[in-house]
Amino acid sequence: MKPYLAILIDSFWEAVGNRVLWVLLIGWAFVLAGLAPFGYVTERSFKLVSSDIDNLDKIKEKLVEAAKGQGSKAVQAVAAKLNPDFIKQLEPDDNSETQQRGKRRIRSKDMAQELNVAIEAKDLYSTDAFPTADKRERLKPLIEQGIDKLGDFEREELNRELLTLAFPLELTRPRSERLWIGYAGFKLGEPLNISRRQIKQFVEPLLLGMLIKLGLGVVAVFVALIVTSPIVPETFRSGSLHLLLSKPISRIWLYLFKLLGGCVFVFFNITFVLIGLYLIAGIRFDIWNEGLLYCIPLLLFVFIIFYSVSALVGLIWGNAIVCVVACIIFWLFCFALGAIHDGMQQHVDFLPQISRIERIEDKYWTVNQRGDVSIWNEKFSVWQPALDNDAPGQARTFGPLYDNQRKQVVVKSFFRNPFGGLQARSRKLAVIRLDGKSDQDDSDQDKSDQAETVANSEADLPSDSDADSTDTDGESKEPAKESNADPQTLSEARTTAYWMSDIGPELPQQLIELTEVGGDIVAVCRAGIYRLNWDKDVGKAGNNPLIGMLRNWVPGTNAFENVAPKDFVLSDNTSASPTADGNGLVIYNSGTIEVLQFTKNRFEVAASSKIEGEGTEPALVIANKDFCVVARDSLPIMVFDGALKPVHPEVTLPDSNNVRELTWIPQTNEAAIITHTGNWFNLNCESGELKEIRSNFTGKLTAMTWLSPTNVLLGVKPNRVVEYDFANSAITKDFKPTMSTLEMVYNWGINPVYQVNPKPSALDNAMGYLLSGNSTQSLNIVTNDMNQAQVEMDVWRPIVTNLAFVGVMLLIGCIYVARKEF
Amino acid sequence: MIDSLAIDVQSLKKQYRDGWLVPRRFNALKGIDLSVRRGEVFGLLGPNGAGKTTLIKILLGIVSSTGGQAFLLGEPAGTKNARRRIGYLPENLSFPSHQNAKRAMEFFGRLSSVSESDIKKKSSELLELVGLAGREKELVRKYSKGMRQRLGLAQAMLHDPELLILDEPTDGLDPVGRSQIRSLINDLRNQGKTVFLNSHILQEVELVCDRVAILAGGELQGVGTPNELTQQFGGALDTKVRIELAAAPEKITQLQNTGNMEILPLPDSRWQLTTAAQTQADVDQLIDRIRQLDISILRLDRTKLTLEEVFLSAVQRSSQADQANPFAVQSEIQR
Repeated sequence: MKPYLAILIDSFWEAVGNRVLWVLLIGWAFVLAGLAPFGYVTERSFKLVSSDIDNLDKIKEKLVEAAKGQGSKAVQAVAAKLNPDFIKQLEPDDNSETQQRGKRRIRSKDMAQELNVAIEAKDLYSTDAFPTADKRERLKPLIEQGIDKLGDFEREELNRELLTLAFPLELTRPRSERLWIGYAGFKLGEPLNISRRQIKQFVEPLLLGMLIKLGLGVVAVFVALIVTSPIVPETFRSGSLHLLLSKPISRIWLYLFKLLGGCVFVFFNITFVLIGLYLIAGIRFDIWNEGLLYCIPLLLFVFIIFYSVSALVGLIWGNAIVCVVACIIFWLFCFALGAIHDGMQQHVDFLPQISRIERIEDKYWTVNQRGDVSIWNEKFSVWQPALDNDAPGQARTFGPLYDNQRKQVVVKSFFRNPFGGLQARSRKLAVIRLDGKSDQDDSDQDKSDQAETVANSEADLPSDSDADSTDTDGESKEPAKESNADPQTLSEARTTAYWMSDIGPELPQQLIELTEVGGDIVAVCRAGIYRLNWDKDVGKAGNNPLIGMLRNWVPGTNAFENVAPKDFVLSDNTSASPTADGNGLVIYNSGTIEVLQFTKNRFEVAASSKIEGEGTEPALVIANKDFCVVARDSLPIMVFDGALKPVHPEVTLPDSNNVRELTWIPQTNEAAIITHTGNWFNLNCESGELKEIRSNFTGKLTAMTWLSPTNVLLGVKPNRVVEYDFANSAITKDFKPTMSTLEMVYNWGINPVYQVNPKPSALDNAMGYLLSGNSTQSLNIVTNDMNQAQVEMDVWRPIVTNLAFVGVMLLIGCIYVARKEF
Repeated sequence: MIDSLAIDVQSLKKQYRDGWLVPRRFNALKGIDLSVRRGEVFGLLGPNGAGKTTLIKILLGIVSSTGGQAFLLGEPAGTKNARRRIGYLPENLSFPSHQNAKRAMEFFGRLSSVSESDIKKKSSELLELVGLAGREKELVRKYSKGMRQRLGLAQAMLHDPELLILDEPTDGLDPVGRSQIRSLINDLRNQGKTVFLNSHILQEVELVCDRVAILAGGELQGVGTPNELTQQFGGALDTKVRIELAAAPEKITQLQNTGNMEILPLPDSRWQLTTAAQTQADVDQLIDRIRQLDISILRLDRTKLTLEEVFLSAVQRSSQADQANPFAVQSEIQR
């Protein structure tokens, strides 16, 4: 081995002696030195900053009302602590000229500063103004301690919580720690409105990933390729080669070690940068991510893929320039194939994935990642749209929920924004009437007039102009194209919406979950829990005095009645689902599980328990009368009893699997789990035993709906549904759609070629896996929805295909070297 | 294979093919037999394209033969065991540009599995021996061609090989350097090492080599000591006699009529006669005839064949043979 080590040692000295290496290292040192001063700046404070103001206008409105002695007592108590002149400035003035001259514009920053006066106040709390405060989990210990005995920080905490009670929707949830991104100790901009966990979630796979991919994956690797491209041609030039070949060494090993020696240069670069980044991320951001160090061999592997091409070309042609050109051509080919594959995969494999399956009146309904609501068309074997969906890209659809009494289905779709929020043109529900009748029929409205009205209403909906929440705002959703005629062709079945739909009542702001409890449609929102009362649906023609053309202009929020326990406010990362008996709700809210029972027209908290942890992570939660299961993002699954006491040690899914869907198997105490990697596990809550259910669809499952304890509807990638007899492990019905031309091109052309082709850029998946520890990744920067499909990182296949490619390149090189008469 | 031989080549053939679709073929070696004894300095001579480099490449295992056998120090040529015991100085030697002499010695020493302590010890000795002491830390790319040759020679000797194959070792060296190399080769001979020398400088070969082989047209034209080769080729060539005479022109005319000779006039009634005399009897007969005509003999020279003349003669013979049989290559291939 010694002779070959000599080649590596010589390569080391060759790299050290290379000026380009030193120039690069100095360049990287500057980059790292520029990054090093970045870090967190934290401050323990409950005081408000401008980003805490969610709805400035509403706060203004409430304060003005309170100053007049109107509105809630809580707001009046807050207003009493503020400067009266400030409140005067909030009053709307009809005389715009006066307003411009005499009043300054109050911005979020001003409001936050003024409200901080209330936060500092010593006597904001009174039982009269805040009657439920002493029952709230966070406030109770502070109030019991005695207001006068509280320290400054504790009083700030109390007052901040009281402000939240006064302005539940208008202010963000209180945080005890303010977090800024700082540079050399200086705060940069506003404090961050996301937690450290979310920052970690963002920084690790995205920011660091981007830096590594671009900085090292592109710059360092290509510079190294240019620098090292002459190594093999020069070595195999006759003057030096004959001397080397006269030594007692194998010429194949000589070639391989020369190739390995070429990696020394890039190894220096990568190691220097990644250790630097590791230290900066660790020291400055407290993100000690060993994955960064594991990226060193991975990036070396990326280099070797290209270098194996360069070396082979150098061996055959003996020219360094040809080597570089060959590498660029190879990279372009891989990049183009990868881009075509990924683009098609998005439309063929990812967005059509089924996220929800329902059987409604013997018809099979599905919702996919695009938000399409479809029904199975037996004649053409396709999922036929039930509604028009003009939302490109990812969307989240709540429903379909079936109202058996009215023979109608309720759905609501929202676009997903990159930061995980949901957006829609309007908050109005879409109602699909299965009896074939629509409101338009009832009101003798001419269909063309109605369409015109809808078009006009989209442009300027007064009810939505004040919907400034981060979640649901915008304008009205267009009703589906109305056609209840059977499609005549396959393409018609693929594109034509079949069912008639109406615009339904308007949802309250910031919808978290839309579900069915005790036969009622219930909307879980940040401000509370609302039950849909169809009789109060003022948008409905029969009840609406403003019928005809104006019917769509009328807000219908009255149809949703708040039935939440008093002062019930939820956070963004809330998860809710109906209990197995159908009469209650289980809610995971900022690290607290609450089981609510519907009694006397209102939900009441039946049980509550706090789970250790940050509480900002998204979760899935289900409960029946005996057990409650909570699956938090990237954390082990927890099982609680009816009183919400943990009953088993936490259950960890194998191979870093993350839960995508959590449901009860009817009439059992077993929870069925679908993971983002498409696997199915059953968790026996009595024994705590986790069992993987293997089937032909293992690794391909996307959704699950239990029809009976033994019969389940399974969503199979990309858009197939099977009715599965769980007891006999047999398929009873199969809904496998006919492939479209695009799918055929992808499945039989692009994908097979891509799979066997080397794909250096697909090693990003492995890098993402190393950095985040997850084998699946959301397309959104931040996601609060565990049910949202995630892209499988496909960590190993690119490694295997790239290894095979490198192996083939080296084999050809070795055969050439062995047979070539130099 | 005889163990006392450093190099043993038996019926060695090499045929090259060139081109992919319609390969052209030519025979670089046409079945040569060659033996180099241990401890001798052996010179290989031949014109460009004679097959010298091919022979060395086969001995080193850089190319494979298409027929026959070759052994180095009793081992099949080209095997690791054989290569372990030889030192090689290639023609047009180049070193990696980042190396200095010290690092080059370390590198090639390690490739030859020399221990670190031996590398350290012997590098300094050898660099001093080849005249590079004090310049071992300079980058090789700044060296002159001669300095690179010296370094090449040093690395070839680093692992104390039994056989040294030196391809144009004095290439690029000044006369002093050549003399030093010659002296070094003599030292190696005294140490019992075998040196296989490939050089174009025939005088040098004549000076240092115990035996010489002449290779031309892929065939061995002759093997032996320089004297043996001269005699061998002298037999085939005319031996010339040059005589300076003093006589009247009519007597010279009479002499010219007695045989095939060339007589050129010189100043002061002197003449230069040149003729072939293959044996001593021919010379004696010529002198008797001159004296019978009463012509004075002022001076007599018998010219001796140089190695260069032998070499040129061998090359000429080889090329004549090739011309006489233009289908030789083709028939060789068909066989």
